[in-house]
Amino acid sequence: MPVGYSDQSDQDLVQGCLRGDERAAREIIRRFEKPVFSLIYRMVRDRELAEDLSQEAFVRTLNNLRRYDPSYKFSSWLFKIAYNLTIDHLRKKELEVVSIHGAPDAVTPDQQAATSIALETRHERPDQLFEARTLGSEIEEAIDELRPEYRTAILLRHVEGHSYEEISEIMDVPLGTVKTYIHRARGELKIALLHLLEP
Amino acid sequence: MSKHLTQDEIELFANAGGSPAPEARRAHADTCARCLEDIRAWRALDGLLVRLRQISPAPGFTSRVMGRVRLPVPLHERALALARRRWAVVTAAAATLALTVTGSAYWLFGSQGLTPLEVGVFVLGGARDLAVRGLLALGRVAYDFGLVDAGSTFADQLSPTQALGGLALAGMMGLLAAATMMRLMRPAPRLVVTPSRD
Repeated sequence: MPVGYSDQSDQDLVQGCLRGDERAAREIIRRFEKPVFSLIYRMVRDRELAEDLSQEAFVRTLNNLRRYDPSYKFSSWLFKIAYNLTIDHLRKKELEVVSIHGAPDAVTPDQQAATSIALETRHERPDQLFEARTLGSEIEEAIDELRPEYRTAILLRHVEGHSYEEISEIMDVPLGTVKTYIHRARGELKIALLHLLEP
Repeated sequence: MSKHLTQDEIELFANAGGSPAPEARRAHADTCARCLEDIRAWRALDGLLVRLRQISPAPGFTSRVMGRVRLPVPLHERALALARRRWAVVTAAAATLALTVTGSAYWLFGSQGLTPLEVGVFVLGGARDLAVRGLLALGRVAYDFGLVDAGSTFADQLSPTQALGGLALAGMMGLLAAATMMRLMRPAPRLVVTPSRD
């Protein structure tokens, strides 16, 4: 009987799952539940919804392991599924997203402004606002103000520590686009957090 | 004055001190106030972002996921499942045969005023005869091959009673074999979701 699941590599755990080893599946969930949930939560800002989307991401991942290509990093595949689920959800709720950040394909500030609607159309409950503040106060709020694509890219790079190439795979965009997202996200964060960045 | 550092170079200098960068770029980074400020700002922002903690889902998350996960069934389990299905078919066939033989025997001999016990004894007698004749047939085969010097053919004088007895014997032996195999091939433990530790 295999022991030390926490010491096994992601690939070994995947192989275990493919052999029907339930504990390998549990270890995968244990290993990635926080990063996946954190990313999704910071994208949707709704704990219940983030739970549902995270759960769905893990279920889809584990139920489709036969389709996983081992030449790719497992975490990238998992995050890709989680990201796609979340983005699909956000696109369905496009009105809310557009209302804050402009249309997803708006690149220039003018385009973003032209496709933006008033912030008041976003219905965030008071308890969610309170939670956002307590979670990471000003940094969380600054992250929250980024467009979903920028937010995802910067969180994957600076919180989860993924490489640009991995982020490119996860978000299914060219490497140059990832760099642009991160550059713009950093620029916006620098402005929002200027008072915290002063020496 | 050389060109300012690119974003990639700023990240490189911020994270690795610019050690892999060419000498000319390092010289620029050391002297350009704008680039130095960019590198400092990059590091400062990194310092803020790492403060973002990871958030845990609600307790029981793993169990909720596992409740919906269908892990692949291992090859040996699939083989056993197939074998179990085959033995179920064999068992059902043997049981049907035994019932048919018993029913037929009762129908044939019950009308002659025999009790079920007498019918059973009669059928068992036939089965015994059949077994003996089978052995004799084996002996005949052995005789034909020159292994022994006496024997008889199997179907020389096979009466209906003996045929029924033979079928009943075969049915009972089939049942016995199936029951034994079922015990030997007891279902392997299934993948059961164990209680959560989270």
